[in-house]
Amino acid sequence: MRNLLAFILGLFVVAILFRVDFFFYLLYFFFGIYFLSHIWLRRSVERVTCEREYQDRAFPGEKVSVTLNVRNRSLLPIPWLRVHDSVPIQLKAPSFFQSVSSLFPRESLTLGYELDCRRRGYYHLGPLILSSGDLFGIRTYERRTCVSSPFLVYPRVVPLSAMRLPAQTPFGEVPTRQRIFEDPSRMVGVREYQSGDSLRHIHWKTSAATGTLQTKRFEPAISIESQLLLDLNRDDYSAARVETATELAIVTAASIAHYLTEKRQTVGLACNGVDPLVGLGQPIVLPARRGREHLMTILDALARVQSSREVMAFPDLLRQSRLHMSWGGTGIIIAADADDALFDGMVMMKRAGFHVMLILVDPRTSYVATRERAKEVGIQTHLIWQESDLDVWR
Amino acid sequence: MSGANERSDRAQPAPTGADASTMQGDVGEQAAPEGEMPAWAQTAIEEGIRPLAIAAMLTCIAVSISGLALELAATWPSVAFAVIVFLVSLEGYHSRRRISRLRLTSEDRLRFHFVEVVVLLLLVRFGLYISYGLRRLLDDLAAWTVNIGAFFDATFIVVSLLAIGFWALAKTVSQAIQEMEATPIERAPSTIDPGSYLRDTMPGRGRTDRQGLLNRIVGVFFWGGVVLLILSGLGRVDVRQLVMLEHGRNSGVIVNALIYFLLGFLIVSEAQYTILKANWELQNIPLLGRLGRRWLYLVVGFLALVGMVAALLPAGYSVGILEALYTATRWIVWVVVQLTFFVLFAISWLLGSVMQLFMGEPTSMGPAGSAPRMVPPPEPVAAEGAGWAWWPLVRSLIFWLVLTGVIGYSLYHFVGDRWGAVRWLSGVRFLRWLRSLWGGLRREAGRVATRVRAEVAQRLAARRARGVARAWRYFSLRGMSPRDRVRYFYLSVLHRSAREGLGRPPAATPLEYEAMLAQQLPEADMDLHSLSEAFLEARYSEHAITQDDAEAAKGGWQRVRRALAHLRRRRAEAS
Repeated sequence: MRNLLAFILGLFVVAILFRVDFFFYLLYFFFGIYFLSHIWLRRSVERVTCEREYQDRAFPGEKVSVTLNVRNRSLLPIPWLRVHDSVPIQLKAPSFFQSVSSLFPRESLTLGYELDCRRRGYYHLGPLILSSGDLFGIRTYERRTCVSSPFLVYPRVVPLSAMRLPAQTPFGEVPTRQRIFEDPSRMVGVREYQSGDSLRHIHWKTSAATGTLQTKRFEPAISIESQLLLDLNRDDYSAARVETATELAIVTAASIAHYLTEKRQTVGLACNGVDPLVGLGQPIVLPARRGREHLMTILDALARVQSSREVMAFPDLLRQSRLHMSWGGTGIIIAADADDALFDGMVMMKRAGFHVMLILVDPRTSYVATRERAKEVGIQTHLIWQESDLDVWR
Repeated sequence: MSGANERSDRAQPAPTGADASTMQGDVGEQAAPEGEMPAWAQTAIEEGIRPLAIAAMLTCIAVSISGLALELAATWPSVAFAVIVFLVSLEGYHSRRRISRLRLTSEDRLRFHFVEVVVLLLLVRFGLYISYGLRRLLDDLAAWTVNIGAFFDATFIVVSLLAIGFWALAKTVSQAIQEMEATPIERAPSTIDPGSYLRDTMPGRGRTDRQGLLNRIVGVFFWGGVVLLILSGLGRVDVRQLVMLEHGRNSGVIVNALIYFLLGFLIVSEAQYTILKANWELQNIPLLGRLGRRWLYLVVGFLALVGMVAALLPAGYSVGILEALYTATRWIVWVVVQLTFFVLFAISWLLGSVMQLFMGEPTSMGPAGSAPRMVPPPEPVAAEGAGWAWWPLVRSLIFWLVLTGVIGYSLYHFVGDRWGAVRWLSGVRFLRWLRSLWGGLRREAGRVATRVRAEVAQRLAARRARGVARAWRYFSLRGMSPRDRVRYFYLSVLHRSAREGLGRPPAATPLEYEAMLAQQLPEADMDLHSLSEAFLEARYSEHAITQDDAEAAKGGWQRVRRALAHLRRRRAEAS
């Protein structure tokens, strides 16, 4: 209908020339169609609201229903409205949801589709694009709304129940349900307050002196604290298995964290991967805590984390994490392979009084040789080549 | 979901094992019938309403041709011509659809068209006798037996040529609408489908240029409209009147043109819907909620609305634009002068009064003179007939304003849509100033509207609050539940006793307060006790409070009230 305006202008000339009332009437009629199509469309589509309702977290294998509530808040009807919601291809194929409907004034429409959570990750749903047009093809109008909604798929958690570890390690004491691992009578220093610290352990005098909350650190009486140390530097993995092995490492970490939490132990996480919420170059460090809430925090982080080449070297992460660990704690290292630098880091941890456990997911050298080498320095080693290898702990 | 104005169209999950693309496909297949019309309605539109609308639209052009032809030759068979064009257009539409369904070879198609043209010519020949009459038919039949050349007279040849032209137009429109629909080749879903291979090797990858088809229909509509208007103008307006810029009215022309344009827009809208539907179908987008039916309602409603609005606007003028502007300007100036005069008068009167206070009564009134004469209002424009004298001016002013707006808006968008030439206009200082002025006015108007809305909302809220307060003052005991009544009786006693200076201390429990009050009102000791007990029961119990309980409490309340009144009287007498 691009010619409509030309016709209106031509009609104006004819109407002026003939000065027939009816030609002016027709002029108004044509112009009214053009003008109202413009105004009507913009006014009505701009007043369409859209809400996306869904459960923003899910485990792999779950199906999550997404409900789109579309409402026309204007007093004008919308002849047709195309709703196009973009969805990551990992959650839905094809990677969008589309529907067409018309909306009368104040009418609501509820649309829905399902997300198939097949792969761990931190996703964004949207943007949602509303397209509409008039009845004669004069104009179309498009508006973006519900721009981005986060959606999290946790890593797969393999239920473990029989991690047979040496008695010297904290896991050996699990059946006793020994919970006391810090002796409040033996304070060894202070550190900055972190979310989850007990208020009873705040050192008020130091807090007042420094202006920030400080928490007391106690000498461990019986330490059962564990720290998961996860390597997600892509350079450490072989090119052929980098995707599979990093995912396997994350699944292993999530499964062990779940296992330790179920056994009411404290567990922390240190990872050199990239958290989209934090940004590049910042490692993920979650201090050791216990409880389901803390487990969900770890799983959140593991769901979001991505492997990258531009991240902190894993031995550096070991060094940094060691400073935050309590004496006698266990470092569970999940890495692709164990090179000399990693061995140096592990030996340093042993010397500093920590227990160390090594889990390899993509060894490029002989695993047997690595295991023997680790055994010499008292480090227990495991190979997880595929997810079913975790069955030995089930 | 609540309320009748809500719909729920949830995509159902696919059966187990189906992938997401299957699910999407399933959704489309499930939802499409909901979005489409029933089969009978679809058939009625495609085979009945649409061809009738196209034929009627083309007949409107034929009527306008007849109008001009009648001016040239009084014997022009106008009624027969209109009927012939209508029938020929119907035949053209249906024959096009029939041919496409039969999938004829080119030879068969030629044969089909030959037979079709012969039949059409016969239809034209004998259809002309609708106007000529049966007697003329019999005469001509006799004449043709003698001279077969008389079969092809001038009127028959002209009408035949015109009819074939309309027949071709109907075919064009029919073909365009039919080609807009999604073809099986375009629907081929998979790359391994033979249809998909065929599509990929076709020119333009088998995609139909639907916008081009729509433009073709719109072209027929607009050019037909141009022809209709020109022919109507030439046929109804006398050349002498045209030169003298005079005009006349003819309701037949108006109705004819109106029907043409209404039908034209209906057909264009229908074509637009067909295009959209085909595109959505090819993209596997499900259509929800009776879209087709609503489309029809909206088109009809929209055209009716625009038609009504257009009918309300003045379609002519009796005062020229310059004269109208001049008179309007004079009126504005007159109003401004009057206002200025009034303000000056008020100021001088005030000053005079003040001066009178200080200087006393003026000894002399100064030079005698007549009071200043008021400026007379501008003369009304001479009316065309009886009625309000100012109406022609107002009507003309509205006319010129609307026309200026129409042309300005159309030109702005016409130029802007095509060449983006309005960009350089944004550099013109005057236009920039106008734009900023307009922006400022809009902003201010928006601010005022927001303020007014806020003020109205505030006042409404205040009124509601007052209503609530008033409701407390004029509440009805009978409207209360027994529990609320008991509580009211007790609170009423508290209120009245507080007026007598016997208010309840904040820390006192009802039983403690009962003991305190009983010391002041020994005659109502029992009633106070029963009222307090009733209150405690009503306030803290979970079982039902009966009417009898409330009535018992009411008796106690009345007696305590009387006791308080006695106390007040006693105190008054003592003081």
